[in-house]
Amino acid sequence: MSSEASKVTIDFLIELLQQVIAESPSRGESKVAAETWGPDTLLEDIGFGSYDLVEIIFKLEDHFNIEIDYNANNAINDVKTIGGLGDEIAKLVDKKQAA
Amino acid sequence: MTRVVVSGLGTVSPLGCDTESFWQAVLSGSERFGEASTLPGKGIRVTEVQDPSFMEGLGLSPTTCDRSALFAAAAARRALAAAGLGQGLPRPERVGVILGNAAGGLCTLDEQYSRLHQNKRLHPMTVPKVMTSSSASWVSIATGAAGPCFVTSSACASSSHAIGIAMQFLRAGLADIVIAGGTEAPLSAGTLLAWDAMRIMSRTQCRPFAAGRDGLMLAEGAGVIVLETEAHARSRGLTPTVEAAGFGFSADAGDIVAPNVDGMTRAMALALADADLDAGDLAYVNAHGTGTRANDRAETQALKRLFGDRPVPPASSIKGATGHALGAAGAFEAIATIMAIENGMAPPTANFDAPDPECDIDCVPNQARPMPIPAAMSNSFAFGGLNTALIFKSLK
Repeated sequence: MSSEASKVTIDFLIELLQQVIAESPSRGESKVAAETWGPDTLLEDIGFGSYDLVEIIFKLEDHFNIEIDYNANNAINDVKTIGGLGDEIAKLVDKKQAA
Repeated sequence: MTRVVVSGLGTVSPLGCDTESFWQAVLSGSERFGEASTLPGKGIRVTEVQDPSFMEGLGLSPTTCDRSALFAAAAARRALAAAGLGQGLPRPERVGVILGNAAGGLCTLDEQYSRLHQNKRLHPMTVPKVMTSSSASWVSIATGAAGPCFVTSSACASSSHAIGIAMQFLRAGLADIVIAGGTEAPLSAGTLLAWDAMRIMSRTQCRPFAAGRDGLMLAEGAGVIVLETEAHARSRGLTPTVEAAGFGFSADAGDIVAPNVDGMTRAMALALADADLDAGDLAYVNAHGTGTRANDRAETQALKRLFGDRPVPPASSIKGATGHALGAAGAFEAIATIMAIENGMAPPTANFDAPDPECDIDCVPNQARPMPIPAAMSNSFAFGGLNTALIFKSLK
């Protein structure tokens, strides 16, 4: 795996968010056009549901072939924006890859 | 007593994903069985929902919903549209969902256990997809129904229990409308092999009540009936044509798999009493008729006992066409019974080869029969000795 591929870029996270939300359309509708999503976009505005993060973690684990130390009761669930979520996920992935 | 009426029907079935194609295929005794796609080479024949278009416009995904929940949500949407409720529910908190389901998310369970045996992690949605109540929840989510919502589970009688309990909820004033019926998606490899291990699966054709019958064939799908109090239906401008008039149920308290004539007869007699009818008022019976030697013989005896000196009216099984959809079977058959009343047409028992002296009833062999049907009964008799009978009456 290249170092580039091992990073959770904001574009990669947005791609995952779009996948997860498309797979569970009943959880909410995005109030913001997907092409305009960026680090400051609020998660509640894109129809991000409480359980979507679990699925994103699952996809990241598959993608990087690692197990991420995440529990649905973690404080990570309090983040409000796509950028904030990206930062928290990057910390978890980096921590695992450094181990 | 509050009268309960039928306002709309919806199906997702191997015979078609709308009630008219379902009904036409039932009438023609259409043969749609083929080798199970999940288990090639084993010779197990089933009827599958092969047309994925039932998912269109549903807004649900197989990633989050088991196949059984997708069937249920699609059938519920169709039934609500037929009931004139496709654009929304008048008072969602007064609309219930009571669905039968025998065994939960069997396809998901199989798929995830397969991952387990390959040392792969299970998908995070496994629990919400596998839970037996999932289909009722997804129907609630997909339709907005926010009243009483749960699943009844009683093997092959699951959806008949659901419909019968929905009638009681409406009579008791606990809801104005109940989305009732059942769903099952049991055609996973593991489930088919488990059924095959019971040695009751036909390798040829499903031939209820016939001399050559050699077992049942499994099917999948969902059937949904919108039940409503008559007053509520009329307040919306509907003119109901069929009443859900009676429900009877019993337990054999006997064998876990063998059918029991006493238990079957009691359920039917209770349904008649609930509908305030005599056996002689029934023009047609939609039999459970699985195509196994044991069920069809016992059901024949039970019908003869119920009718006593009077002739048993035409009593057919549609399972020769539909297959046995377990928790959805009662709903398919209640829908066929309602359509039989509406259309004045008794559906046939398909694949009937020759009479069996132990099943000496008029099972409407092979050819649908036009006849007036003012009242009819639909039977479901489940493993574990759980028996139900539903009675529908014409309001015309």
